Amino acid sequence: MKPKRLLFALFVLYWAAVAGIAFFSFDFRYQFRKTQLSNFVPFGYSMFTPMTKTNFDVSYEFFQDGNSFRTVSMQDYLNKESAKGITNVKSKSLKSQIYFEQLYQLDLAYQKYHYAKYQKAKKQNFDSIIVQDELLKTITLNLKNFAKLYQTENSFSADSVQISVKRSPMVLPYNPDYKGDYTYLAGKGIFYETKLNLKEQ
Amino acid sequence: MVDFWQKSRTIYPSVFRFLVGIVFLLDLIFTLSNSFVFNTDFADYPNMGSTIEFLRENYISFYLIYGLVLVLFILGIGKKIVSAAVFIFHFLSIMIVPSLTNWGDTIMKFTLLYFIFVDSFKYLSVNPTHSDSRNLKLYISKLAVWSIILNLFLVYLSNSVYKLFDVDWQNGYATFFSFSQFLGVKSSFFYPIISNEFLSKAISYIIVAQQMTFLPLIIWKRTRYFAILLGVLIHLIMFFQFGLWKFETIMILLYGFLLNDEEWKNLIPKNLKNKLFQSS
Repeated sequence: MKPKRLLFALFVLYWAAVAGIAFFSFDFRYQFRKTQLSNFVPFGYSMFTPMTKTNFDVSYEFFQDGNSFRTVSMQDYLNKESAKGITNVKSKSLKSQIYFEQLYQLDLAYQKYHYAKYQKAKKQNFDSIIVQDELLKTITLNLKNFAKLYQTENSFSADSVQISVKRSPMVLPYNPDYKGDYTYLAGKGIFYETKLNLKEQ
Repeated sequence: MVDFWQKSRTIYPSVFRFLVGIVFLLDLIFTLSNSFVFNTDFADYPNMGSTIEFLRENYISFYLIYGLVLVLFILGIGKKIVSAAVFIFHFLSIMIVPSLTNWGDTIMKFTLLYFIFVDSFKYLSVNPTHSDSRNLKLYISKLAVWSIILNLFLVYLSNSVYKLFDVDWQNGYATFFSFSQFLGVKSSFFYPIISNEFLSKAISYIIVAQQMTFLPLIIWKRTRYFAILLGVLIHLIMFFQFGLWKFETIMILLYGFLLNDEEWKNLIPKNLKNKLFQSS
């Protein structure tokens, strides 16, 4: 076989495999994603948009000698970072990606937990679910890391910080009664809370 | 259709190498200037094994070498070995800071993998290549450029298939929800538009239609420029609205592969063409 024909045959085989995995492999696609081969063979790009129908905010309440003296909203903090101008764009974007944009994963886990509780299927608590999952653990660690970063940026001392993650299902302005997602059943409010002792850090 | 695949594409790979190298270098400099990203007191990432942990601990050395490799890549020094090094460094950097990875990085991972085999050193290179059109290496380069184009088509096709089966896209609600994921959306210029039922649903259906028809509209010569301009417009809107500058820039840069040499020659100003893109 001529080298060009052989190369073309390999090229066709490779892209036939890509198309097969991306469009016709059903659930195998998700198993394939976990293999090393998926680094060299694209398995499709289902960019799940919208990733969530929930809005989030994180509240940080700082304490000194048992008294609350400062409360910060992460949304407000990031909005202020954006307002600082073009030189701050990357910094804001990195902070948003590390501390904020992954929260939908924590919320998805919460929705599953809420559903299991609703169905009376599981008696596990939400914290133990987080501890067993590497990604969720990282998200909650970064929630604590933000408190340390904020404290360093603003140079103040505090004994501890109370962190509360709030969820609020999005409301469609032209169809406010829309409830076509489990997020609406999980409701509005604080779904994850933790405390960090800043003296030990 | 045959015409789309058969026309030669030797100009744009050089432009792409140069521009994507600059985008990556700028991103690297801005990321490194925000040291909290790599400070273990301020940022945690999932455990990815001992090699990645070692690179995280020695991130300054890693990114300095990556920066140097990118400079060589931009200048066209080291040819395909440097192209392979850029792929490896990009691949590793995704694992070092996975929270900072978006779809643009995943699309680029495969693009850079195929780009290793592309002859992108004919123009805008310190030491330009002079390859014979009958050369086997040139044929490999052609297949690699086709792979980059097919990967781009896969992005649009698989997204449109996903959207067709998704209830929010079917109902036309997805545009509102997608915009609302981002902070500050209520103060945005687009908020009144996405809050209007007719406009919001119309945008949703236009996006699904644009993604579904992307491939045929690009392959058909008469609609090619229209499809590219529409895609660029959508990415520019997302660039300014969502601040996804790297992802949108990468997507716009990938569109360049959809035009062949003849089409690029018609677009590039004459003096620039004579200066930088004279056939060797």
